[in-house]
Amino acid sequence: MGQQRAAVICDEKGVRLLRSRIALGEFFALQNMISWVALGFVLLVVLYPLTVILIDSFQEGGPARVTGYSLKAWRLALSDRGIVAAVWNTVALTIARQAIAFPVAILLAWVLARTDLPGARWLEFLFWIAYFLPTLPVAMGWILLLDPDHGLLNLLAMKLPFVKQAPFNIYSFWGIVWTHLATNTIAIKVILLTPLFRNMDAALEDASRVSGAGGITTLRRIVVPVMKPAVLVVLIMSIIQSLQTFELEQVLGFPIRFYVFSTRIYSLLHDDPPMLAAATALSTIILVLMLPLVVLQRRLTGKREYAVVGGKFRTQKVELHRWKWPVFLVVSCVALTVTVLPFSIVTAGTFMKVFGFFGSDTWTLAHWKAVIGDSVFTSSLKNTLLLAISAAMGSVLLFTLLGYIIVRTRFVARNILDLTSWVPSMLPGIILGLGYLSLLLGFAVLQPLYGTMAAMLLAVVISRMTLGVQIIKTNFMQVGNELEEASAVSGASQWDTLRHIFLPLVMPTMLLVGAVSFIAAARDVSTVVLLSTTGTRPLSLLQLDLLAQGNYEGAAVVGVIVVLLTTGVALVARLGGLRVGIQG
Amino acid sequence: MLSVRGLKKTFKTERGVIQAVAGVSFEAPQGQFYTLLGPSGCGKTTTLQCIAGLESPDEGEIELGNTPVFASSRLLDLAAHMRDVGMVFQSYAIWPHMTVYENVAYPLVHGRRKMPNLEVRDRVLKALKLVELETFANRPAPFLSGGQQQRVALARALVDEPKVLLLDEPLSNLDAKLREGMRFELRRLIKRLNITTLFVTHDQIEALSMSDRVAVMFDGRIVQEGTPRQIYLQPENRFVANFVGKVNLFEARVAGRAPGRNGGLLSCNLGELVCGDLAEFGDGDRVLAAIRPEAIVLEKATDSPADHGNSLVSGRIEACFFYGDHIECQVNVCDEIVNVRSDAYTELAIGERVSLIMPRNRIVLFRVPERKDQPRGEIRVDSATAPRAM
Repeated sequence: MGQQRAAVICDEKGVRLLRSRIALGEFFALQNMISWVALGFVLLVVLYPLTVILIDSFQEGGPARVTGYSLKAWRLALSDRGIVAAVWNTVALTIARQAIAFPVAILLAWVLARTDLPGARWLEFLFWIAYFLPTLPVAMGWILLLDPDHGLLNLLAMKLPFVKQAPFNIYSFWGIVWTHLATNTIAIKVILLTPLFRNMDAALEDASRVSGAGGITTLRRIVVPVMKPAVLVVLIMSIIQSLQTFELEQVLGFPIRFYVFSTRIYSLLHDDPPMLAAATALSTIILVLMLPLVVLQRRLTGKREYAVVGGKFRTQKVELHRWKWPVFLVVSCVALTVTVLPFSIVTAGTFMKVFGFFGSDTWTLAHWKAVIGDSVFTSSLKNTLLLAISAAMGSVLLFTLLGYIIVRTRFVARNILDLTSWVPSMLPGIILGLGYLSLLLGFAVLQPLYGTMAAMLLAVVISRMTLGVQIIKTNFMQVGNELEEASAVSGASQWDTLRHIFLPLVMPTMLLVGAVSFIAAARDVSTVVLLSTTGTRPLSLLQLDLLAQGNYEGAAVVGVIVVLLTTGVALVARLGGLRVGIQG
Repeated sequence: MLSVRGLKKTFKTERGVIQAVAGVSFEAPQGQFYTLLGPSGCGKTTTLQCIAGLESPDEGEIELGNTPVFASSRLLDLAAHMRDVGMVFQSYAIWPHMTVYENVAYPLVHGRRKMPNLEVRDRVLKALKLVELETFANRPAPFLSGGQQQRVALARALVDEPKVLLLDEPLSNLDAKLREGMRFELRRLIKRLNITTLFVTHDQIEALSMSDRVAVMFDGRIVQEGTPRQIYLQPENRFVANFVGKVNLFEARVAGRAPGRNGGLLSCNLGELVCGDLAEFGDGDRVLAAIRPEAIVLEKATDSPADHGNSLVSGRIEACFFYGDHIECQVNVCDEIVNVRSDAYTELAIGERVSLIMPRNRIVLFRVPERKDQPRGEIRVDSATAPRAM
């Protein structure tokens, strides 16, 4: 396509024809060049930090003053009891959460998708809200309920005659498990599994019932095995997500010296002197442990065994009869517990003088005034807005470009691009942050960037790359080649086609990606926590710091503001016509 | 007019190199309705896309109305948006974010020649009138039915009065009744405008009823080209006979001459058949005798001998299918199943003995394909032979 050899044209229209062909060739050459640049950039920002982590784990003396290479950090990492305990705790927490959440979520999803439960759509929507709510503010609601000394539920329980001691302690292994379950873990699974169950061909169930099997038998022998591949994918994704959590363990685990690998990395870097090499060694261990899961997930999704969408699925639902209202009650309780309950608690708490104390003089605006009046808050708010808006714009530009190259061009390396864009979803945020930190500290030319927003921005954008590119790709594939071909055949140039056909049709999706990136950047903690300094601290990290100082009320206020900010953007996007796939 | 010479196109896929178009040449003079007919994968859509400029062939020459648009020898490859064609896609490709008016006006507003608004309005309304959608001008595209979308696509393709109109299976997404009506409308419209049209389809009824000329394609090549009548009544090889319509095929051996210009006797499992034209075959040659189900005359069992020099065989009805406007029977003749078509008013019963008259001029002969290089079930194309006069 880039042939530029002189052609013998013996036509009086020759000059025009020649020019058009060369212009075509040039355009393709330009498109190709952009693709190569994009590929190079993505490989760099995704794979290089990983490589740097590996290299740094062998270094002695700290990043900028490499004195030599050795296995010292590795020996430390593998022998230090704290680090080994952290790895074990990570695994234990994950197993505990998944073992409880998974069966509960399957049951909930099945009830929501395949029975005639009243208000099923609204209940499902509540679980979506749970997923979107930032973790920390909701966790603070639970702290206010389950704190061993001041928690509301504890105080109420102790009023009972036979209770001598505070029964609930959120600062414990099971406290952390509970808080995870009550914020994200169950909710994510429910919103992923419900569409899967809904799309399953009802005829499969009907065939089972016609053959004489009852409800539970059908569930066990037909529904579960048919759904198994898809459900397995969801399970693996959840496990990978569980391994990556940071905020809750930092807030609830640190006071009792309970570490998981992400919080251990954080503490290693805040040691004196910072133990970068040990942190990178620990990161590598975790990545290696995650590798089989990642490979397994890739293979399962690649095989497409999980496509159980039947051509015509009937809306025939399982009837609950007299179970209808009891089930409705139970499901509503669960849905409200993971959303409305903790959030109302924490919001109420911001207005109370002393939490849990209902006296004549309970309500106050003092905490709000204190926080908003603080210049630290204003600068953090500015940082969050700056970070989120730049992340939204950067994400849209980058992901649209990548999506276009992968779906719409014949670029030779587009499969590599696709694969690379999938990698960030496998990386825990803290490791990604660590990678960029090592990158910045290790190169003199990059060091001035440390402490600026640039690194945070890059980290936040990259961390959301997988989902963003996926959304864009799906939309581009739906838009279909023929709409653009029809424009070309109608005589419009490539540029006109782009402007009048392509962009208007993908604009809603691009806005969706922008909104999602904004929300993710505003609430992100683990990716930016290692890259942020006092000057660039966003609201999400301000919460952490306030909690660490014991200023629960201030942290709660900041948390509520973050929720309002993210919900506000989500609502605006929704009003603007964006739909997040509840319909499945 | 449309002229295609020596078109070749290969695709490199994960499954290897696929030769989609392997040397296709044809010409359609001004105003002709020319159809490419073939099963999926035969290369007809790729050929169409090469003509439109959406694909670049590896070799060949394409001329649209005396303007060369592609010539591999001269490194000429005009971009799609510079070719003077109109195209209707199989999915219609109506832009959902525009109204009907904006869809049809698009080639005039963003296309090759930009026109003043007044003239655009004039032409758009004229085009919409052609397809009987004048009152729909302001309707948003998503609110159109399938048939309406198809007509908008047609109006859009014609609004700029292109030299050639390309139609990629435009009727296959319509329901049966609508399809029938659209066949006549489409042909009438095209003939009225006298615009050279290339029509691509796998549906033989469309091809036969709408076209001036048909080219049957298989495996990237044209295996027979002619008028619809020629294609159907004088298939040149087994593939065309089988693909276009139904056909009975019997292995036979030439067993001598028969009275008449080139008549011959064929000996086969059914008995002895008289064939009107032996073509290039001679005594003792093995042949495939082909006759269409509707060409055979079915009569109740009779004892009168064959007359008019036509063969008569008798057999027993094994199965009967009522199609509404005709009946198809499977008749067992000497343990061979012969498919016969009869009119719907004849009363026929399973097990009944019937006589089948095989008119000598309706039997076509093909060469028997070599056993060893024909995998089972695959249709092999015999090399085209000269059309036999009937």
